[in-house]
Amino acid sequence: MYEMYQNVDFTLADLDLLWRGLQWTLLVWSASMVLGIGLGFVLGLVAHARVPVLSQLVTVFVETFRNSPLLVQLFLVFYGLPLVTPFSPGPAEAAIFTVAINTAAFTVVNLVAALDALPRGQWQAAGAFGLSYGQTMRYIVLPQAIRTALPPTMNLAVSQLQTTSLVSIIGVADLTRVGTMLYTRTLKPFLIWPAIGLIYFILAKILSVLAVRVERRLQTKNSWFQAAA
Amino acid sequence: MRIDFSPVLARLDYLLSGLSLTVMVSLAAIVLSFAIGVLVATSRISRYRTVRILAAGYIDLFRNTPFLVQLFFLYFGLPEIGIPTEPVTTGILALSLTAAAGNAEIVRSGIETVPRGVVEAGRSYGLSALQVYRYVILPIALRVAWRPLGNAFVNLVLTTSILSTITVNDLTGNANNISSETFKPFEVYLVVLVIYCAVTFTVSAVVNAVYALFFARMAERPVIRGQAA
Repeated sequence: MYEMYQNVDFTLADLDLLWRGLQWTLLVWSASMVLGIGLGFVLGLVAHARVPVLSQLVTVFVETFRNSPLLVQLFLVFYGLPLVTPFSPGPAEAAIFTVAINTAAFTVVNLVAALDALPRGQWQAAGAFGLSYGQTMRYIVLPQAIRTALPPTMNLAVSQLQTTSLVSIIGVADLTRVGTMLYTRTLKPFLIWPAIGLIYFILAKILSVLAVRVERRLQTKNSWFQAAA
Repeated sequence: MRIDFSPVLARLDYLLSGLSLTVMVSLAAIVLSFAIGVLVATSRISRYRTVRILAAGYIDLFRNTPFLVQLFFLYFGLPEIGIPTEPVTTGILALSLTAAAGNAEIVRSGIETVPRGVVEAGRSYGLSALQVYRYVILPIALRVAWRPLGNAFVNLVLTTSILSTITVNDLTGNANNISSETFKPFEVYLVVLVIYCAVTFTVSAVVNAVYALFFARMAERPVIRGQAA
């Protein structure tokens, strides 16, 4: 009697559902990575420049978002913001915004570490050559620091793909959400969750292969740079 | 709408009871994931090829799929094969399995820093392979791995928040309940964000204290039962 109302078999429409879920996952991931790494870059420069008040604010921001769960951050933005600000983001906007902010916090740490790792002598030498702060940053420091900061930041981006699965909890129809939908309809967890996991696994593998390729290209450039220097 | 913390502060007891569960789950998962991590790290560099491949597969699988998917698979999937699940224990199990994969990589890279000569010296002193492992390799490896492990522990504490999705009444779970009861999501999640920060700062402080107590003063050369080797 009860089974009559249940649609426990898989259909072709489910493949379409998975495809759309995959697109949402990739959209949320790519948008938040571009925004987050961009914002992290700017905030990293501010933190490193030791601008009074502003740099301290960046530090507070970074520590808060690195030391709290993304899930709570998502809830704060998605459920909290509409009640205290004029902004009421939809699930996808809230998801991209929050994952971006979270990524930015970790990017700041990577960039500041790379900037601090450069010997002070380079700043002094650039100063002796009459280069301004901006010129030193642009032509001397950043080209090297970005090369140092890029590998950890790419690792971060690859691992944030897994993290985006949390956006399903605030209602974004990503892969994990599609998994939940299929699970509640067919009640076949032993089939669905490994299948969803496999898609994430393949995506992560593709992304890390791409990351290794970028890293290798940078290394060849780096060796050229060192030979010239 | 105005920001008003009083309904949240009135339910602080309830929130803190969630915190105690978060702490309990975190401690259990830290201990378990550390034990499994050392085991997997050892298997990863075993002399038997099959063991090495199995360990590498384990690490690969758990690091490249979202925790949420792993959690849903265990929580909804295990009953399918006749193993009844309960939110808290399933949560601790899933957390430990995932964190162990990360810990294994950290411990393995620690073990790989141990010079071959030190191991051979231990063997020539008449220590068994197991004794060399226990008294020579692991102390040096753990010293190197301790700080990265500390970061992994912080990450684990933050990941416990995801257990709220399988109805664990941890800090995040109780925050969700308060949020729907008071309709003050912004205030609730902001308070929870700060509490998580406090918890992770404490974890970091403990990790640093342990390092200072046990590892910082450890001799460069391995110490066996109080005698320098």
